[in-house]
Amino acid sequence: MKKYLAVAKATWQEYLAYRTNLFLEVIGGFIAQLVIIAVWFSIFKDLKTEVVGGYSLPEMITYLLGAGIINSFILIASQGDEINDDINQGSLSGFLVKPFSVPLYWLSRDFCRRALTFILGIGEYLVIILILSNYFVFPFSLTNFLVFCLAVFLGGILHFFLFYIFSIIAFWMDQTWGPRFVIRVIMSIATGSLIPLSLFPDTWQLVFNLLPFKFMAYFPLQIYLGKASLTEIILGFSTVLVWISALIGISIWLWGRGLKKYSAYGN
Amino acid sequence: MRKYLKIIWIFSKVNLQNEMAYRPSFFLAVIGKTTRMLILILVFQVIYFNTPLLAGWEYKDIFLLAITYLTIESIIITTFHRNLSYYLPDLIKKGNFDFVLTKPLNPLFYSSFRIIDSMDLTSSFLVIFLWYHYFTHYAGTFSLLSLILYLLLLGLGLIFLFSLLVIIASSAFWTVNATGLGRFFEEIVRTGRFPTDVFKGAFSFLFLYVFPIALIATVPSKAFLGTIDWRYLAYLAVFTFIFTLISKRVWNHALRHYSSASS
Amino acid sequence: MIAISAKNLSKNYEYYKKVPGLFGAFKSLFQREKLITEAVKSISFTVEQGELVGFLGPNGSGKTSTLKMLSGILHPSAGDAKVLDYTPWRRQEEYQKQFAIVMGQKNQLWWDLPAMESFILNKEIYEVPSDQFNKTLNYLADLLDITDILNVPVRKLSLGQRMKCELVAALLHNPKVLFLDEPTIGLDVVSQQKIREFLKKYNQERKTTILLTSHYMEDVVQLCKRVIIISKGRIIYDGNIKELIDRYATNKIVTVTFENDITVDQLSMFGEIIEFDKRRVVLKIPDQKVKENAARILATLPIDDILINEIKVEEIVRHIFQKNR
Repeated sequence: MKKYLAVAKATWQEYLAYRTNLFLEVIGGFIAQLVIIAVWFSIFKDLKTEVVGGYSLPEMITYLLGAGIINSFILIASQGDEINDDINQGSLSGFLVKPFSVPLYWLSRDFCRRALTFILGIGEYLVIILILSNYFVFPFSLTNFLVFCLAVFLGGILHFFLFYIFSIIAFWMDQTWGPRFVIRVIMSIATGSLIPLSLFPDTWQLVFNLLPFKFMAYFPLQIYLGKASLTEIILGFSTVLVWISALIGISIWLWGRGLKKYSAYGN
Repeated sequence: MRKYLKIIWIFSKVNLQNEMAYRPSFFLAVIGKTTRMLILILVFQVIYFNTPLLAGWEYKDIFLLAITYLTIESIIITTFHRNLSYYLPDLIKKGNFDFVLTKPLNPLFYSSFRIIDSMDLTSSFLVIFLWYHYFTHYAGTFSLLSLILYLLLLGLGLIFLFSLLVIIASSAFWTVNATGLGRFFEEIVRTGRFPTDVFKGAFSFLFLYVFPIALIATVPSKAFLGTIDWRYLAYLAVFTFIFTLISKRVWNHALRHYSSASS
Repeated sequence: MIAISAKNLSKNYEYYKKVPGLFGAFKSLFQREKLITEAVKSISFTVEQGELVGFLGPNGSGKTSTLKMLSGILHPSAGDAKVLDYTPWRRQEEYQKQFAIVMGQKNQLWWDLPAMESFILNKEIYEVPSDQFNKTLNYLADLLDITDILNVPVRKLSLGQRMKCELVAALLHNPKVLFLDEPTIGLDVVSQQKIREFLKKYNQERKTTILLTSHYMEDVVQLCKRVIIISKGRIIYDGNIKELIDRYATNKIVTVTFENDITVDQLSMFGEIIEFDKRRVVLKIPDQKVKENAARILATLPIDDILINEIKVEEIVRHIFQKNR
């Protein structure tokens, strides 16, 4: 554990050098989220109703702000590029001789990056929350908030392993950004960070329920707002754990096969 | 002029060859890019599933706005967007911009169109299909004048975005890592996906006059639908003209800086 | 006819002192210390049409900066230069069509594609007519012996082959002036030799003016009659390479092998001892004394073999650089 903290510390320094770029990316996402908020303000105003699709205006604004904060550490465009490059450009050889687990090394670097973009993003969101404080809903309860945090954390793990799998296929392919790009595109709608998933027509909801993406934003935010029943929470956590276990299982299997190929042919 | 068209043709051909070399990536990219376009339509469908009107826009008009946005986006990502935001900083970082300056070719032209993205070009066919869908399902009657005006404003929007990106890209001559600015630009452009009528107060003023995001999709669509104020159009034309002059100055300044400071 | 002329050409680079630490970085937002490096200090020279001139100097001496000013990449801080009667940094198309620059450490060819694609692009950029393009391409590819690799992706070529393709790309528009910045850097000995032979022949046949920088002495000795030596931004020698050797090579290097062990004392009177081993010695002897001393060594000591050599140009130049430090 200690050595991975050391990795994280070194990574932190490394990424700080790119803070301007990361900050610009985060603030870009922030602006996009503000536009969505403006859209919903406008819809509520036009409809002159208190509730749209089960959401009051403050709930909707809070939902979108929360999704924005979650996005600041999930939706990074280059997710997985580093792993792909390490494998394809041969840095992996250097890591393999060291006494640590390379996947855990990547995981600690990734969470370090998440922490950094979270810090870069949270400031702007806090300012907006202050400005829109009339529309900001506090967590349903302290328990809900804690469970929400846990769900966000699991969503991050899920996200990491999903992209990790589509990065280590670099053992077999020259370019791996293709599948990751498609996932990112689907994620942009299927996490629910633009529109709460419950506002979609039924068929779409059915599709989104079968995908793992809703656990990255929609599910945690339902807990935060107190819109998920206990059964739904338990069911959700069970599902997300199944997803994570499955992804970890696949990734371990792929990693083993990939390493065998890597050491057999070199790179 | 013929020379420049020929060179663009070579750039497109070469890049198609380059990208077809990695066929799986090419097809996934096209799938991803077309999905991304369809998602915008889906977003609007879901919004109109919950409301009949968005900031005064009906669904059939929003559909026009969405495909206008997608048209602009397709044009810029196929041509200058990535060239200026990602490839130019890379060219400068590796020192290969030196060659650009020694060739009998406009450096801005070379920097903007060096890589004509065939993945985006292929995905653009969806836009043509969406236009077909619009004319067969939603379009009402329109005059030839409004169509011409629409095309002119589309061009004005492109000039605005090009100038904006030239200014952003010029910063690459001072900072080593300028890719963050490219991503930032992407998000700015993306705000144009929604009608600027959703903004109120200061934001409305900002996006209409100070930093006319409205030009990306809202204004051309309104012109097509015949609901635009002529005085505002005149303002936009003057604004874009001045903005373009400024961007030209900034670019020249950046080139001068490069040739006095690089080593 | 004069092809290149530089008059008091100077180039300064300005930069700001970096203060370490977060506080320093913050402070430097408001108050920065400006520093200036003088890369090129008022140099003047002219090159005749058709000449092949070597530009010699250690790293950071200002060679590349000078070349970049002559190709219009850099603006000079002071002074003037004319190439083919054009001011390079105006970057006029007429001028750009008449010169080319090749940089050994950078490549302008498309990495993933055959070199041929890059040639075709250059054809359009320089507006070379098709028949002329084909003729030049055949001539160059023949001379460089690369006809068979024109359709191989550049990334699969060896460094030497890639350099040859870079040269072809630069010469397709028949430039009147060619700047070469370290064209043989990193190449193996055979490839270096091939490139040299090509440049020599090309210069003779086409009468192209060539200005070449290198820190491989062999490049310059084999190719150039004239050499300009630059050190810390100043020209310290400009002239015939033979004269350079004559002026500075006032000594000869005498290597003697003996049949028996010998002591230093027995040798020191003949000249300066550079290397000493029991049975082998390397001596530096002034030119006018070489004959006499060699004869005396032969007469007095048990000689196995004796070799008299010129001092290498490399030695001479190193000597000059050391003197100018």
